[in-house]
Amino acid sequence: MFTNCKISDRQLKKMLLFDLISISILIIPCIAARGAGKDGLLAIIAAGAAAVCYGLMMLCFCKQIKIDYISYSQNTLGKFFFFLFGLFYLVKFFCSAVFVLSLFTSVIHETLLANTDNRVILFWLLLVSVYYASKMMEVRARIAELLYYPVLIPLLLLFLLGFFKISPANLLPLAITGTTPVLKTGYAVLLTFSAAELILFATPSVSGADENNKFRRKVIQAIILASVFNLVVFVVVTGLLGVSGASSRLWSTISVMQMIEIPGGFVHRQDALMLSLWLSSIFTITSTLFYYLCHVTKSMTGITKQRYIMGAYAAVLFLIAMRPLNLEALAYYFGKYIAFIGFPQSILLPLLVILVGRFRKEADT
Amino acid sequence: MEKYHNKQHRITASLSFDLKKNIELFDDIFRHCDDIIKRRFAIGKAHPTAIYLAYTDNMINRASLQQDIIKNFMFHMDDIPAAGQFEYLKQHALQSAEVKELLTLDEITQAAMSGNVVILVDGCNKALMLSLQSFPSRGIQAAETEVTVRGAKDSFTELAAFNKVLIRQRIKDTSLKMENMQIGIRSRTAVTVAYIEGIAQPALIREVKQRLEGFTIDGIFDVGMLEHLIETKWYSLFPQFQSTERPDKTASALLEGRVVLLADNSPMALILPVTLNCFFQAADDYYGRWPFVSFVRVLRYIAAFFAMSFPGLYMVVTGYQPELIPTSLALSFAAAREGVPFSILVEVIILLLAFELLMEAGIRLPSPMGNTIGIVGGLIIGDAAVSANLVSPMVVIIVAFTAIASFTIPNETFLSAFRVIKYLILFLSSILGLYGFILGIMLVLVHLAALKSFGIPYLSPFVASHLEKNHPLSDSLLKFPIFKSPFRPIYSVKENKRRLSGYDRHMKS
Repeated sequence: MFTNCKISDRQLKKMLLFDLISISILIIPCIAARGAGKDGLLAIIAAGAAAVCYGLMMLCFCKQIKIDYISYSQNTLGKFFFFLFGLFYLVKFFCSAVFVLSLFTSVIHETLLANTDNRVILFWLLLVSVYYASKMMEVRARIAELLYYPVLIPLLLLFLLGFFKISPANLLPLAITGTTPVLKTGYAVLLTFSAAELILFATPSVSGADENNKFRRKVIQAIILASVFNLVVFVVVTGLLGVSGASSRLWSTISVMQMIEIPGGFVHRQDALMLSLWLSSIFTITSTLFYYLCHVTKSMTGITKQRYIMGAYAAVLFLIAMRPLNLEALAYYFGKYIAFIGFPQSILLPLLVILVGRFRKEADT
Repeated sequence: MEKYHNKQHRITASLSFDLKKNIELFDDIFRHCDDIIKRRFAIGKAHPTAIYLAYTDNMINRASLQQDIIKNFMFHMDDIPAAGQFEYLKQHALQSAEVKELLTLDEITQAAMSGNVVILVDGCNKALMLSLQSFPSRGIQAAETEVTVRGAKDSFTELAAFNKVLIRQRIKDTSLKMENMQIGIRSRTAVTVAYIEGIAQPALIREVKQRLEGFTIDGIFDVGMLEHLIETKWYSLFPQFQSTERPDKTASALLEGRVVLLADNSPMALILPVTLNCFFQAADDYYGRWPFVSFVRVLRYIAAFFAMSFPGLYMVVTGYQPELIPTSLALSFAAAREGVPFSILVEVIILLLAFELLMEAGIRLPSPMGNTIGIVGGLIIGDAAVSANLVSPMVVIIVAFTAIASFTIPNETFLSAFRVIKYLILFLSSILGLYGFILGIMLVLVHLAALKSFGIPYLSPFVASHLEKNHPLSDSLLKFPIFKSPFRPIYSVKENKRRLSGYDRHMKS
């Protein structure tokens, strides 16, 4: 019989790219413009370079761990310490899920369903995300593979069309803000790449990942592509709206979508069309978060029934995200959490596990 | 009657050497079975021997029985010996290509009910079986549900034996295997598992047989019943088997390394495994000019999308995002709805349901009446409904376009999935507009991505392309010329992928 339990490196690249850009293309122009003004461009380039290093670091960890990251940590740390270790990841995935769900609900509410209650939007978003996440890794990989071009090509086209309308004065001159704001903003942009740590969890599902250099190349390609997307989005959004326009709203990319017209188009409101295509990619990140929340919880608690865990998380997330939250404030606190805990932990925890593993191995021999 | 049968409904009683007892047993087993003809008579002059014949009325060639068998018994068996009559009869009395000895009563009764003549001889606890099958059949007719412009016109019939001939006619290869099984403890339906050895995956063949042997049922009357019993995702709207009435399509599937199931009394073959792509392939795609076929293929995919989404899209642009379309068009939509007392959703559902009813009525009625239903429903009721302001003319166009789009899908089972899904998308679009529309599409996509047919991803070759490296897309959305697809698709064994070799490139010029 045919078996297909593993995903290919190409599928992983597409999944990773969706995970990286589905939020970042909305918020990067705002983050970069607010932090470094026109020099946001430099910050994004710096962040891209740092993201490649971050990706390489994750790949290096994968090479050391070889097997499933969770199982390796479980074997290395023992029950009690693994529980603590798992809590860090649970908190990170949970907070990310709350932020992502709130952001998407607000965007959909503002752009498509102004008269509909946020809770209705959130409910359906959760429902489809849970259904999506309930499928195995290869199913999620197939969806990413299928949606890759339908989502990316129209977005790219839109930004290319916008490219000719940008005002150079909104982007130039460069290097006027100073090094510190650029570096600080670069770090803030780099945080949007923290989804790259998911390769630690996904590697065992990739066929031939341990002996295949192609796999490493694909991961780096995904990170570089995401950086290019971020750069293009920033150039188009800031070039059209100016620094003040780009930083006035958390999801200023949507405003640009509303401004650009496709020549001779039958469709009059391109933003709705673009949004609808982009919407299909947001399920990739929401389902990824659900999937890993369940994966870590299962390993920590020993509960095998995934549907119960997903149901419980969906209910809790609904109760939290349905509250009328101030998205700007939420983004601020979530940013702080990721900057000081979430991102550093993505490097320190695997490093710690690998070091402990080595010590134990040496002690054993 | 249960006294003779075990739990598997097989007759466990055994034959005796005494013909009188055997006849009593037969009479008891076939009590009130007036279609079973039984006759006892004596043959031989010097050593008269009692024999007993049994068969099912109208299932055998009666003329042949009388001419070749009974006549022989009556007039040419005078010198039958005192001992060894059974062997003597087998050697000298039966003029038939297929004569078999049957040892158990279960085999004997089955043979009698399957168009054979069984002969019991006094002093023997076994029987002779004579194949004189002559079943009532409608003969081979032109395909009705998969009509083609080019290519063969014949289709399968209800007799699996004929269907096997139609396949064998096309593949005269000793590697084409047709293994018979019996399914249904009461119907004892003959099911054939056909495959080409060396091309089909052995594990797939094993799995199919395992699934077929994995259940006990009273009776099977069509391959559709088998489909229900051996599919894994029973809740899916999408078929995980391809059913066809075309022998050429079946033969082509066998050459691709797929497995075919045939069942007696079913004019359809089941082909497995299957991918979504298979349902967009029509038989004459392989006989026509490839650029046009490619164009038609693209059209079918677009039509399939519209078949499930068009009412939902209409709902989105009229109820939620009218700014998506040009203002003049949005205004004409609104003007057309003027005076209609229902909401857009109710209006669309009324017409969609009316169309479903008309279609259902048209299918069940004889064809002359079916046409009338089409005229009455489509023209008279449709026109009257618009005049009475029950529905707007725009909705009539939307529903008609959706119907036309759905009928371009060449497989009836597959298109029925789209007929149902459009309601889900319509419902979601009616409550959440464009967002709901995307939710609906995502739900369908996730379901399709998770679906597998015997391990093959349903969306292959559009996804999981790493599983198939040899031109996986050359016969999918586009249909390339045959020389561009020299390899078999994903289904076949890796060692035997090539199906075209030695194709000389200068032949193209």
